[in-house]
Amino acid sequence: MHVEEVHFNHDTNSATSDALSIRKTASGDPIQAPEWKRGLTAQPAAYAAAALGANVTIKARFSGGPANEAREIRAVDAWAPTTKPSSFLGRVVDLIARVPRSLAGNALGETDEQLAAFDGAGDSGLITFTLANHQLKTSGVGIRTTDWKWQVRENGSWQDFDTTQHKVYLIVDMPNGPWDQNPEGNNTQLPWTDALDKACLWAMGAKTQDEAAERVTIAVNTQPNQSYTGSTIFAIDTTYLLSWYLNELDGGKTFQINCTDCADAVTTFSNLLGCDLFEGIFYNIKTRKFLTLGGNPAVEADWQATGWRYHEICWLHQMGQNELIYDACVQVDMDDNYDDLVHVAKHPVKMRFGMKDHSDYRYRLVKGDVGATVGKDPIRRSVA
Amino acid sequence: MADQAIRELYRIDKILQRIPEDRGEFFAGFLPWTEDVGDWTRSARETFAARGDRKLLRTIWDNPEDRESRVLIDVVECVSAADAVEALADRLEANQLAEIPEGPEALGLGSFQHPELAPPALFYVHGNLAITVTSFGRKPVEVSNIARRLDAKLGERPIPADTFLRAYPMLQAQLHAKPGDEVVLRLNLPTRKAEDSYLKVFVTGGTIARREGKLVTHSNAAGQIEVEAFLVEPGAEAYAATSTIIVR
Repeated sequence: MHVEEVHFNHDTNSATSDALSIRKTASGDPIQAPEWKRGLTAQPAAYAAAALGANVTIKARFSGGPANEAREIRAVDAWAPTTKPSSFLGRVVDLIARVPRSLAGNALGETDEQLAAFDGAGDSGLITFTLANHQLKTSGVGIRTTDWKWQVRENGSWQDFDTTQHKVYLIVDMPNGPWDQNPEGNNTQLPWTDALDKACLWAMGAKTQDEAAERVTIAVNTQPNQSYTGSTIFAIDTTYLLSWYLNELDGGKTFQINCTDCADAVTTFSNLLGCDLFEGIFYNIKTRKFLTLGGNPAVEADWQATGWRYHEICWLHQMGQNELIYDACVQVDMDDNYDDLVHVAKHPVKMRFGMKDHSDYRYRLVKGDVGATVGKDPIRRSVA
Repeated sequence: MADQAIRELYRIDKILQRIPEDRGEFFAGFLPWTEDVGDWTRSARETFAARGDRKLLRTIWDNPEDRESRVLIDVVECVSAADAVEALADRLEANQLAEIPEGPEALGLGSFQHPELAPPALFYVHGNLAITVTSFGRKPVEVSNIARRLDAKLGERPIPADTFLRAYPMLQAQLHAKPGDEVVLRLNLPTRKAEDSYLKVFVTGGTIARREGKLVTHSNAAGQIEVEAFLVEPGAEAYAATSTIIVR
């Protein structure tokens, strides 16, 4: 008996009981169920934790079964220990072996047992299984691999008959703009797995939108091969050239970005994980000393003050003096004495824009109380 | 169109006034070749559609002897010289720096450059192209030489081939027009063009632009419009064609 297909995104109009609609990049086709098909390279699936309801289901089809008979079938974690180690050393080894699997291993759990009826050729139709003991809602952001051992009940005992392997992205909530879930046509705004690879790595373990946005902001700010320029590099008009940015990140060479590029990256990767950020600008800024992109807090030359015609940052939900912001282009100085060489670097993560309080972002970045006029139109650039 | 404050800051209307009415240049598919960038290695080449029928042709060049030295060259292909000036304004608007000083005087129709403390970058307009040459790696690279080389190359008239195959009727246009009339220039480009080949059209006695996908020339004054078209290919002599339009 063989597994022929496994479907994760079996309902493209919903993500409450199955996987999201995704694609690899802007080029290529959307990934469609069955994500696993015998003889073909397996495709990944993605789940939005907050969107999932009580039951998560998959569908599978089998061949080589007993003609015109029915059998109970289930999938179990291929790495689950069959027996508990009895010795102390065995328990220690078992515990150590669990660590990597707890970070990257099975989050799909196992399936319930279902009765599969086979036709005269030994083929089953699509059988719906409900996942049991899954951690899709509790694991936090991550990239997980599941090895399932498929079993059939014969004469009262479970017999292994096939194995399948599945890569699963876990995100906090439904992706927000520029991403969407419209399954129609060749929609390039479906979440890209190339972007999920990056975002899930950066925000691994994040269980809330705040944690995810914070980790993405810090990751964008600290990528080692980036440095700052004034020109916008990865945006044209209202399009964010995400595929180009991904190429540069992985290209192993140094490259440059500006504040708009940072805001595009933070918004796009965070919203891919289910956050709700927008990009927006403020104008005419004379700054206090801040830590430049990729700067070393211990190097005084990396603390610079400058003037900007505009600065683009990320805003949570909406723009305004009292709204919350994320900025991956700089780290602000939280030390109150701006004339000395003592600096306390802080990533601007969910800081109030504000001007009055010493913990406000604008107070920490902008010199004096003039300028820094907030623009009106928050945006999210589409990805290409 | 760029914000009014940007137009005033960089005196965009002054640059627009410099566009000549009695001559024009138009380029399609132009991007730098290896020899234009000091024989550096091209690590990326891509085309993006941009707003208003513009097209962005982006290449990235890496110094093979120093991986920290890279240059990014963006060529925004616009529908006309005026549109290229607007594209330049858009580029300046997408720049965070408080002010971008004017660039070298002889470079293009108008040019700007990053101030000294910022990583080198040059922005300029030549014909219907808005070009940006940016030092892209961590180590600053002098970009003005590359910008000047590209500017000079765009203005050069290639040496036309005299072989039969490269002198076929590439350009057709009506022979007569009235002042103010737009005359469509029909180009019959070879079907097998080499990669990185580009079209270069010089017009004397009129202007040139693309309207609804067609190249058009026009002159408001009576006289003669001379059109010279070249298909330029790496390592080969250029296809060439000329046409004269009497305006009266």
